[in-house]
Amino acid sequence: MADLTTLSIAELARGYRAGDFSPVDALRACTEAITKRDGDIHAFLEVFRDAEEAARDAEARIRTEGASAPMLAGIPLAIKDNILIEGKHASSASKILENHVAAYDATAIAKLKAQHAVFIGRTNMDEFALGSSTENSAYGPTKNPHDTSRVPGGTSGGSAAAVAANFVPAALGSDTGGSIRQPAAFCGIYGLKPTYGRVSRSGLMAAASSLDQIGALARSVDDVETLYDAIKGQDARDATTIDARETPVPEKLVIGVPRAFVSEGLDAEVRAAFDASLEQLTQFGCEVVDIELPLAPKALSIYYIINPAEVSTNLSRFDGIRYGVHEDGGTLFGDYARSRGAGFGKETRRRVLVGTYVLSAGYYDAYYRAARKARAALSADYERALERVSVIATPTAPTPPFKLGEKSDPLSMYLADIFTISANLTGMPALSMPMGTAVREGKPLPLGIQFTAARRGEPTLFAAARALDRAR
Amino acid sequence: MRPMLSAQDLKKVADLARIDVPEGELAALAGELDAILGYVQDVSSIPAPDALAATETRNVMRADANPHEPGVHTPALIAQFPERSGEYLKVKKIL
Repeated sequence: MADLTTLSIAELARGYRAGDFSPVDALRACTEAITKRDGDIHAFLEVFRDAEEAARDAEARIRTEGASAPMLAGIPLAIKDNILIEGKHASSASKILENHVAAYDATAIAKLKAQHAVFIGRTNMDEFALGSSTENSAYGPTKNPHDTSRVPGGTSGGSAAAVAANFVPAALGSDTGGSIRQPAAFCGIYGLKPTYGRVSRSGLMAAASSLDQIGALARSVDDVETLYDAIKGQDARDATTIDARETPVPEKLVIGVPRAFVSEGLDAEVRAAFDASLEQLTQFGCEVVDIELPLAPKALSIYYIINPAEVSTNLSRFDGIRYGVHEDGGTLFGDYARSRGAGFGKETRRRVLVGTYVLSAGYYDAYYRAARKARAALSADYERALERVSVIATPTAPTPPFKLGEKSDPLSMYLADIFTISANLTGMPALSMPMGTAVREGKPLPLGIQFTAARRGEPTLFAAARALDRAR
Repeated sequence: MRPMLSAQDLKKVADLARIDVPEGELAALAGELDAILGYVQDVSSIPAPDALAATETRNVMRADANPHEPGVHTPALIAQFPERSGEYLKVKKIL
């Protein structure tokens, strides 16, 4: 039997239907890989003991339906720890939810269950989806499979590492400021943040409600697209979801590059790889043009007001009362304060406090209201640019994957998000794909290139990614 | 210029946020927050239209119909209560 852990979703699906191997075979191969190597990587917080039962159900379905069985039937998937699977623990990698068991399925999970996909386990992340390295997990960091002294990125670091290490062909993550795309870049895989509203947030533990999206991580555009197709859709349980319309792919792909913006603070090898990718796209027949995004350098300031503000509101539900860890504080107020003080990690605490400050009387106008207005202006910049070009291209991250412990200063960690946050602020879809490597201490480290399209422009993103794949 | 965030200021914010911050950590944490606030405060100088668009957000309501069966979710939810008494969630006195 071939090494099933290296196969794509399509290859697994083909093999299942041809009878070459079964979903149980694939699941066992993945579980073996996890047992052998996840001790070093720590992509998973939990591997589900009952996954084989789901694999057998998928087998039965494929036996009955054959070629018309859904694409994801029997496909092992890793699920980020902030996405609810009924009956399973979900902790958002926080101590305050250590004992929390999900009371219902996220809509994305329900859709995957309807296809008989197989959930192999829940993956590690930065606590409450706050961070850029998975170092903020209350359960220990995840390591980059390409160099275990380095971070896999975050906050979907566990999902990205699981895919990159061939533990699973694909995974679900969530993206609030780059949390799918940046780990995809750091781990050398593909990651998509859909248009805001494209995928239901019902059952995704909310970080920043106007920024969050569930998305897909995989080792190819095809697999990302397959997983995305399975989870997208308007949902009555999430009023922010949109209808199914997508914008068609333009006949000729025009790639817009915000030169001034990408010239600042870029690692030399990242710049070289980015320029090389643009050259490949030009050779392939795409047009590459310069665009201006004058407010792009300000996006970090906007983001690190809006994100903490929304986070502080969303995390107020974690009070030790209805679920999770409860610490006694003498009075009711004390119970809240002690439970949260003990249960929240350092970055979570920082974000909630910053958010509380910028929303408080006397500071609301200068910070939060100003950020809301600036966000609208930033969106207008991007919309204007995307009238002229099909996608905007930047590196996904300004540096190669950094070392564990390297960015101990909170602000330095925030600066790593410079290229990814705008897609969340504007609600636009964005995809990261591999962009060569940078060598550090003799080891080749993955880099990523990011494409952003106008809202509902996922087909154009996939077209741009396929163009670059073919151009190489 | 915004004055530096003091440990006292931070204690007030922490109370608003219902987070217990140990005395010994207040000063350092105030310093971290001060750096972050210092970085983001330029947002008020970004040129932007004065009024937020009227269509920025709108309420989406569903019909008040088709309720689920009473009690169908109750067991799963009360199983999560850290402190309970039968089917009741136990909390400390408010008054």
